[in-house]
Amino acid sequence: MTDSNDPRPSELDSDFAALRQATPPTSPMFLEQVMADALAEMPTAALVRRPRPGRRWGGWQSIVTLGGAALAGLTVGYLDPASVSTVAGDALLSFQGTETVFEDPFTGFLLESDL
Amino acid sequence: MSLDETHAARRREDPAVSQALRDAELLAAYAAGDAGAARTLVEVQAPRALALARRMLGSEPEAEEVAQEAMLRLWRIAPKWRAGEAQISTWLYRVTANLCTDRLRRTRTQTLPEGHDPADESPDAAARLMQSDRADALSAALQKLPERQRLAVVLRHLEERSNPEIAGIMDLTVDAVESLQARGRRRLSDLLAARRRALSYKDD
Repeated sequence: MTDSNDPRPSELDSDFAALRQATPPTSPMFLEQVMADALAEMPTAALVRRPRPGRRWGGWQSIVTLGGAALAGLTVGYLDPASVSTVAGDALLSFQGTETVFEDPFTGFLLESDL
Repeated sequence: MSLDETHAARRREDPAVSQALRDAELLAAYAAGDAGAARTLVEVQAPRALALARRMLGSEPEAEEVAQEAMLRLWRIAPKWRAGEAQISTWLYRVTANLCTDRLRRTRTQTLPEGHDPADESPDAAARLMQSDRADALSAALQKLPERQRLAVVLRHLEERSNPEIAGIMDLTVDAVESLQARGRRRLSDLLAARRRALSYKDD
């Protein structure tokens, strides 16, 4: 790396060569510090995450669930609307027949105690 | 093969370009979570940043702090790095140089610890001592140069970078870089000649 503008290039270039050779080695401790920074700063999105046992979702479970939902939808669509209303009506009637279940027990207590 | 592919192939054959591409691939791999890529980048890039910081600051602990900070910035920019826009080495030298300039403006420099023994390739102890003395003298003289001259000279003659790359690092034209180097070399020659004269008077 000589410079034609320099009046004494050869002597100075020998000095540069001497200084290049005298460069101390990089300390391993420094390199380890830099490496520790690199690992600490490594983008978290890139880290591989293992799924926890029992909390996995997807794969065959999701296919079965979706299939079940689709089958239920098809069944409802295929059934005669009248039979659906009969089923619903029966359910409503049975609910009305059990209305005494919801009688306030506190009322009975008041009647018995003449309060 | 298309014209673009031919150009791309020629660029890859250039050692500097292929090295830059490898560095960019390593940085992308690091950003994707590859610790091995991080290790390779540390081994290649950190010593470069440290060498420049040593020459600019003249203090080993300060140089290590600056180089570590420059590398930290590299890790943080990794996910956003776009290959082909800049060479990692050029970017790192620029960040290191800026950090050194900031530090030099804030604090006074200390002299680089001397007395390091270079690899023992010299034929005898006297030659080794002479070489070490020359290195020490130049190291001390470098600290007397203005910051910009020192940076241009160090990058060229110690880090052995090309002038177009130095121009990129310093954000100057190549002519301006050459001018800084010429003035720096002249000043170094004068400083070293004065030192030799002083030593010869002492010997007499």
